[in-house]
Amino acid sequence: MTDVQRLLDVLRAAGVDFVVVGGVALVLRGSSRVTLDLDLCYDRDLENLRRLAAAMAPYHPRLRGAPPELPFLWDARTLASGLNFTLTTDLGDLDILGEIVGVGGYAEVSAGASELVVGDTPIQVMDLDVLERSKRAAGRAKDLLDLAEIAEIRRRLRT
Amino acid sequence: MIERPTGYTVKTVIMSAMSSTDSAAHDLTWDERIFRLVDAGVDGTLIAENLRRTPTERLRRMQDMARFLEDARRDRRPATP
Repeated sequence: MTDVQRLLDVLRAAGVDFVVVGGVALVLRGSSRVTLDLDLCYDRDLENLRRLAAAMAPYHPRLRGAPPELPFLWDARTLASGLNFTLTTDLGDLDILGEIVGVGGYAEVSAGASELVVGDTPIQVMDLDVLERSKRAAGRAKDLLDLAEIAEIRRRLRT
Repeated sequence: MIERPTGYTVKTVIMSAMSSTDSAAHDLTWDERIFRLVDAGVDGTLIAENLRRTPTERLRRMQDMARFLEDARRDRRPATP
């Protein structure tokens, strides 16, 4: 199972710049859904890629669902040459995304995020209205259910 | 006023939602149109409970649920005849 708290602690301790997005962001904002992986939007600045690569290396990131014999080198260069990576690690499943549909890259995502303390760790989490925008743009069946949850969270926060 | 169709399927609802000529629905987003026709089925009490928790507690609860689901899936056995 994905140890979300541990992943967040590891990345923050290494000074990686990221924003929690997706299902975990929804949960942190009040949703009752369950998600099995952690989705992050990460800064693609080269120094940040180096920090991200170094922080996760001890947990052996590899491409989720890829044949074990498929070579995959986890380093800043690989990160720089790709954008979105769906990974499995010793701490669980981790999706790192360079862009979020309907929002943009890290700069735009970061502008639509605010800090929450999770455990002892302050982290940037996508705001509810930006989550709504991204879900609406993605338009998948599961996004429809998330949009219903967001509407209900909004309604509860108003009352 | 949009009539909720009887005997509807997800497909018929989406087709109906998207083709609505109702002027009141004109400015609605795709999801808002659908939720005018079908109950989203969201349990508001669960969300209300979650909103009373801290973000740390929300994450812990979700992880407990995920652990339970994974354990249940791992322990699943085929039904005996």
